[in-house]
Amino acid sequence: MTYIAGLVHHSNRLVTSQVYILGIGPTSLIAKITGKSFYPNKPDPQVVTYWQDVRNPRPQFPCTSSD
Amino acid sequence: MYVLGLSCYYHDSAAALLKNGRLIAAAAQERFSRVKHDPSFPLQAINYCLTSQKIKAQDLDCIGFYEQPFAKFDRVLSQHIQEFPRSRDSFISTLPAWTSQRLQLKRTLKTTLGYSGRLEYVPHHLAHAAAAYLVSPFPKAAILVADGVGEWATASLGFGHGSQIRLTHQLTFPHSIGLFYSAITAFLGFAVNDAEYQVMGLAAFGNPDRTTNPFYRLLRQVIDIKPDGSFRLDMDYFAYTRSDRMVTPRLANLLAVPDRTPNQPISAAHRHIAAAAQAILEDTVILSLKHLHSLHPHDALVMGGGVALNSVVNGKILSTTPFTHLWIPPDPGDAGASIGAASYLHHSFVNHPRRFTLSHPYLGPAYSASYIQTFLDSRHISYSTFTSRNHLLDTTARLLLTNRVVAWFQGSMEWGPRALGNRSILANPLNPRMKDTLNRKVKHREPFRPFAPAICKGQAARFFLVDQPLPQSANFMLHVYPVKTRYRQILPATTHIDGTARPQTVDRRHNPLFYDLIRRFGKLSGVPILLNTSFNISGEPIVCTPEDALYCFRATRIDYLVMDKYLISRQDNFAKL
Repeated sequence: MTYIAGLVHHSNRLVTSQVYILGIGPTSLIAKITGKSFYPNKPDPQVVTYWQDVRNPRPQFPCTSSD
Repeated sequence: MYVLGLSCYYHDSAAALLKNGRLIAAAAQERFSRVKHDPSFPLQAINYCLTSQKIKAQDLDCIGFYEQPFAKFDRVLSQHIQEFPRSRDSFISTLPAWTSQRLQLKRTLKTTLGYSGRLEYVPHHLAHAAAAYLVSPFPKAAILVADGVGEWATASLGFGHGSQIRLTHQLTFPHSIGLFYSAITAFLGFAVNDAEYQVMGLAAFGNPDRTTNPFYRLLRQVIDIKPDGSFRLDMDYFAYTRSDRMVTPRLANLLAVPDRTPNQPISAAHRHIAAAAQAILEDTVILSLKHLHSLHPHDALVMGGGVALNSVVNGKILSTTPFTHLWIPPDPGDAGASIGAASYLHHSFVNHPRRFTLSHPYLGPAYSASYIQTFLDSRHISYSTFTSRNHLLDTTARLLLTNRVVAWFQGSMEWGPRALGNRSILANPLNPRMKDTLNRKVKHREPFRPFAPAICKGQAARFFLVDQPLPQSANFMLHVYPVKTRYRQILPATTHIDGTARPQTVDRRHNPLFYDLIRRFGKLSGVPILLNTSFNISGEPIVCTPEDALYCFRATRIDYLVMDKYLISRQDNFAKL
């Protein structure tokens, strides 16, 4: 059982690594080329506030499991 | 109408059950599984909630979950795309849990409970806001939520009116005051999502002066705080977006202090860093609250999210902001968001009016005297039975006065991270050696950590410089206040190095036995205060069952265990241990 569990663990790791390299990698490359940033990494002394209005980018009500 | 709220898969999983809008049962999974901060699916906590009402999962009208897993997964994927290739190890270690658990809640509910009914995902900060506001005593209030991170939001401002909640402003990941504090917690060698309150306790030993504490000035270089309390971190110093580590080596270089490992001694620099981090947290919270009041000028404030467990800043809010009334739920953290998810569905989503206030935390399992007697007999435990309530109170108060350490197991288990008089270890706060005694016999805590006093509600203003009116959440041990100077010497076991304490005010309406015990101790000693700490072994969750209580009693050197009407003496049972 331990052997099988180890095998499953390693194969999961291999698959996840491939997903990371083949899925996340190219997406990241495209994001970098197009200048897309998902969040700022540095403070911005120019802005007055970092508070963002919640303009309902996501619904204020819950989503059902079927959404 | 039954609505079940759930929180799980991050830390502190829990379940809470509402019946027609009234919270009737709630418990954290850790109390049953005995795994501290257990993040797993809270099956045992759910079973407790259902069996307490003699219902089955199929009888539930709806289940509310405390976050939106797909929105959170969106944030996690965004992190990995932005941090590629540095996030590889983090991705490989966390993705399987997402695909097998976190995105499969509906399937888990069906396979474990046979439940295939309505399931709603409540946005995480909305769940926190609901847990703080919808069960509060206020008909309308301003709301601050601050925690590590949910989906994207790390801090939210808003208001509640009637049964409706509106969040209007937010800060987003990775700029989080909760994660900043956790990062400093990790830097100082303590466990993240567990020991933040140790940093809070350590901070009192450091220099609180912002102008003379050099680490405050240095840490302000990694966080830009605007006058309205909003802030942004310089992520060159933090690693939590891409790895299990919280900080980068640049932080140690900036502070000129290496990361502390858990077994290293605590130096003066560590104490000052803790004080600086605490000051920065207070800066952001107090400024944000002033801004919140300008946006939503209500008298009352409610707070949710793990940052609301910082009882030091909680004790300063009413004296430094325009708010005049404050309420924080017994568990403002992630476990408490299960109450929020259920309450939000019942009130705001379905628009049922509010009729319930969470006035006490005693929502967990209770055990009858006959159950306890049968249990003790089955374990061949020698015990004596109190002949009356008066006998119980008098004997226990005298034991405490003679400096015995007494474990106190009564009624329903408390909801939330604090033992509030039903699963407590009690001791004499007047004894200058009691803190060391407790640490030696039971708690094995770091010597800098304080113990808390429990006091009869009407007496709090006599001993402590409390807010007026005293927030009801002082019943949940969530506010630190200065001890009046003349009582600091009298209460050495519960007064912290900076002359403060974190009192639990005990209301007789909610816990008459505990109240009367404190009162009886007060009659004997002149001071109606008891030292109250959680009934657990260091590193384990607070006890839940009589079995847990006996295990803890046996494994420590507590002198007496008072369980319902039974008195168990260590001397009579485990003297040789």
